[in-house]
Amino acid sequence: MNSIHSSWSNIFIAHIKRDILTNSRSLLDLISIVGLMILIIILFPLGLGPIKEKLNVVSNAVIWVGLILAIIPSLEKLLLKDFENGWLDQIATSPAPLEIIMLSKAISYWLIMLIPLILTSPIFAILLDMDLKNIPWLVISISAGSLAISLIGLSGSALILGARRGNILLPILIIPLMTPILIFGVGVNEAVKINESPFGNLFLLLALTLIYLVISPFISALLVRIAIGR
Amino acid sequence: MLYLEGLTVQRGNKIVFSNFNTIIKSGSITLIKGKNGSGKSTLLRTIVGFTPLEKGTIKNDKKNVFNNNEEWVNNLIFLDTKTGLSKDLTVIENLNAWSTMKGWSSNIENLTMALKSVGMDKYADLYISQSSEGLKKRAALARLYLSFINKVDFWILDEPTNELDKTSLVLFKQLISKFLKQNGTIIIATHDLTIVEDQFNILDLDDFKKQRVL
Amino acid sequence: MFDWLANPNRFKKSTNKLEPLLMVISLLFIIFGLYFSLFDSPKDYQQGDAVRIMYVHVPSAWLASFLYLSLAVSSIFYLVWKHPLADLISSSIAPIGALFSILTLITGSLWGKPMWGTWWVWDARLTSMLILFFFYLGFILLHNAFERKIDGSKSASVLAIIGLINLPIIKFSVDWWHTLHQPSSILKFDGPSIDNQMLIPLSFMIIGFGLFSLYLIIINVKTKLIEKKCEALILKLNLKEIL
Repeated sequence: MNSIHSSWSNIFIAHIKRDILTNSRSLLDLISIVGLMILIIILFPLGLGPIKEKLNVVSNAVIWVGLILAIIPSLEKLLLKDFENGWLDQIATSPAPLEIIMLSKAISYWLIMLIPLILTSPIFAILLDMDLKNIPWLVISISAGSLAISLIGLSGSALILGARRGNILLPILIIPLMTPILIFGVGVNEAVKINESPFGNLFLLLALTLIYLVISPFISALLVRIAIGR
Repeated sequence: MLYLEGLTVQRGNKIVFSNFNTIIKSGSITLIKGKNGSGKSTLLRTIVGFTPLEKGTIKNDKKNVFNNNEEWVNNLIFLDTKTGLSKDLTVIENLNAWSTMKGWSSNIENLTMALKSVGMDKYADLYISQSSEGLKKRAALARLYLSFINKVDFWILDEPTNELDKTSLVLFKQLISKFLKQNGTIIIATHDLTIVEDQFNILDLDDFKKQRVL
Repeated sequence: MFDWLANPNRFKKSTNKLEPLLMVISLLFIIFGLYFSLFDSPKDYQQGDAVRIMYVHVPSAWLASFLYLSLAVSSIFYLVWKHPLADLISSSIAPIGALFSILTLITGSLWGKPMWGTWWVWDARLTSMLILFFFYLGFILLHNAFERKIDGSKSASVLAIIGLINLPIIKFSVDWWHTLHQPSSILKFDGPSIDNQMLIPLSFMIIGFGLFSLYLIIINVKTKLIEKKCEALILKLNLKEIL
């Protein structure tokens, strides 16, 4: 029994390695996701006017909204690529449960697409004239919430496998699911801004991440089984 | 022995086949033929366990294979027309990813041997995005060789020879006869009944359908 | 119960008598409810006649939520027991639930004008209802997004379950985000805080709306059964031509 479990973890790591390798070959996705994020942020000063007070009011929300919007185009391909080339069929013949493999997908998506956004988030904060002392909390809150974002994104991506116009459908399906993360994520940073304790919101954000960590792999595996069973 | 008993598969309103029975002997090769849309691929996908059964069972000897799905999928190699190769990876990287996905140790010697068995060792570092259809097919077929190192009893192949040239077809036949000698069981869906010279069984889905209509 | 109803013919037979009965009873409830709520209930001392919008707003909101629960339950039935009728039921519930959530939003906005002076206020309940509407919309869109109907049925059923898990979380987060609305008047455990005279028309309207939506769902399911039969007939005809 022990050997089977150790091989599960090997398979888990192997999947993450494959995903990272695949994505490292074309940096296009990564560059466009960070580029999109910066463009969304630029739109706000352009729309509101370069007035510091106005930007200061919306800055936290803009970063979180931008985060959610920026990843949506890349989510469409998260599972679709592997569905179309037949890899999802192959992993269904793996000794490791599909749920574990789906978890690896969410983790690798997080590593590939969201870590760069976490690392560049101080730049967004500076663009929006945020207080420098609040930046560490911004990074903490995005780190806490972004795994949940990729887990929700994974199940959204699984929902549209084989659908017509899935790319248009996807945002309608997942943006409602993202609202709690937006609320608690912005909550952390707003609390910091007015010198209150951010921990209430932060714990809720972490709790959400844990909930999705449990639910999302099962839901996604169920959807993948449905998709390959056609 | 693989017993397919009373298989009924439905896709939407359409019944693909109903009450389908057959026995597939161990160490044999079975070719499934039939018109386009006759359900060849669906039958294969049902055997692997992808397409859910409406009714019926599939038994390996006496065990219902879907009772222990993990053991069953471990025991087979499934190859579809969609090969599961990532175009962003090279031939050997793809094989390596596939082998670890199966939970097998993938040391470089075994992988190279596998590539050699289908004449792909020269192309190990070729990106799939740059290779022809025939090369892709051979890169996928290299997986079959790994079943001589790890324990696998079943090959379930959907149109494995479509894009192969004559030399690679010879190599493919060598793999088949080696596997049969190991008492492996092969099920192939194909239009081309000349791909094997050895003794083989034919399962004609059109015949089966005609009988049902009568 | 479900297995027994699962036979389409039995479903039709047993609902044939139920259908007109449901329509009459539900209309009676709604007519009496409307009479009570418009003419025979007290004005609110703050809101005046505007409070009467509540008699449409609250039942719609309840039904929109309750119908989502039913949608999710029948989706679970469909995924577990794979009976086509369960899918017909959930796809029949979805548009009606969506309609009730729109009705809630519209009446909420009409209520908001005299109450708050604007057509739309971002209060917690209206916001949750708006998100609920998007779950209905997502279900309907996903249900129709596949080449083969059955694929849409399965994916949409999973979406309904995702919604069932997530809606309480979303509700909680939205409440956390904003609690500007009046406290819930009826669901308080220390007894209803509104006048008995208001409670009577409200319960009439809730029962009326509930029965009426059941009536609509049954009609919807029947229509879909007939549609399916037509499709099967066409398929048969085509097959005969081929043979």
